[in-house]
Amino acid sequence: MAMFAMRRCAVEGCALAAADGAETCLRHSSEAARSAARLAEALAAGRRLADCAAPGIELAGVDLSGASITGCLLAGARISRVSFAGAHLQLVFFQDAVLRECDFRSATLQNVVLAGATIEDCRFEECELVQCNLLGAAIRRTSFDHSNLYASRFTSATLADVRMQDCNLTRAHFHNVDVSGIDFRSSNTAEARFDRSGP
Amino acid sequence: MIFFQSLFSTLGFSNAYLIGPEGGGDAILVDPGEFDAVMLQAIEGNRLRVRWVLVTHAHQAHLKGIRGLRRVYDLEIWCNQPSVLDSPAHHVHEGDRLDLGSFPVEVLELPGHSLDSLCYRVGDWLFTGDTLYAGGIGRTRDGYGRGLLLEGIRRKLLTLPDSTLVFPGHGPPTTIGIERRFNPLLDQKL
Repeated sequence: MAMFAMRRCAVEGCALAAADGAETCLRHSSEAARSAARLAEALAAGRRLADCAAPGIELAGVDLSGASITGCLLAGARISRVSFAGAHLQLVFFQDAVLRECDFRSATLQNVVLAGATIEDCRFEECELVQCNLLGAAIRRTSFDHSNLYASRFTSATLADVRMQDCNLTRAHFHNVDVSGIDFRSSNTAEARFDRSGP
Repeated sequence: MIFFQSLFSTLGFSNAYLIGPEGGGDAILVDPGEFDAVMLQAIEGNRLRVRWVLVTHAHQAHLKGIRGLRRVYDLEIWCNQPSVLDSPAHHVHEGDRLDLGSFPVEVLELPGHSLDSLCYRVGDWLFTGDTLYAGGIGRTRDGYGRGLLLEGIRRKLLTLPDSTLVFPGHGPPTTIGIERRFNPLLDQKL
């Protein structure tokens, strides 16, 4: 797979990278809406997206079910009511993104970075969420039921009203996390790591 | 365009990374903990030839695949402690710059997890081995090693741009900015 090239947004003080073919991220671009529409159209048509940098993109109400998204930088994205059901995501960087009412049911996420993201009212049920980075994520009213969370890391995350029933938690990390708001019923919590020691 | 693939080994639960030109050619392999059919398919299926191997430290989970790779490819191996490898290797040090095809590689020494621990920087990508993980740092034998490791991470890694992508020897990818904000072990006093 190809990987996106990293260039910084030209706006002083912006922490995001520049979007493909632009000097700024999409939050600071007058072309933001058009870029989002183009990207959504391309994904909807070909169901594949690779080697793409679109930080700060806003996507709402799009059907990306079954899509393949690899090697992409979508940091700081605002994504709401998007279906990723059955999609395959690999090496996608969503750090500091906001995901609301998104459907990831039966999706495969490998080496996906959701650190610092706000994740609310989302469904990750029956997912392969393997070796993903959710450090510092703020996760609310979200279900991971019946998912494989192997080697995924929730260190320093805030989880409230989160369900992880019947999950594989082998090598999953919950360091520095208040787990009292997580429903772990029928999950193998003994295989997860809850202490603060090194990996 | 650059080809990049993360490869997981179930032997040591470790990551190897394959980097090469999109479309084929000479490739770099970081920390081949295992040489299996998946890795061979990733290499050959993308018309790559592994020419250079970068070893972050001489622990089996990160180099056991070298023996098999050498049967297939003519390798140049780079590490900080060639004497402990059973293959000929170049000795690299802090500040060395390697030109591996179209990939300039910067070498950073970060002892602590092991005496020979290195990180390799390729543009905005940083391969940290067992030095820095998403939300963690490498295990150390004692407080001295831990202090050495933390001091090295703060001085050499946390001074890199926040957007630097970190690809560790175990666990998911991360960035320097994420680790600065959320890694609880980096708050510890030396």
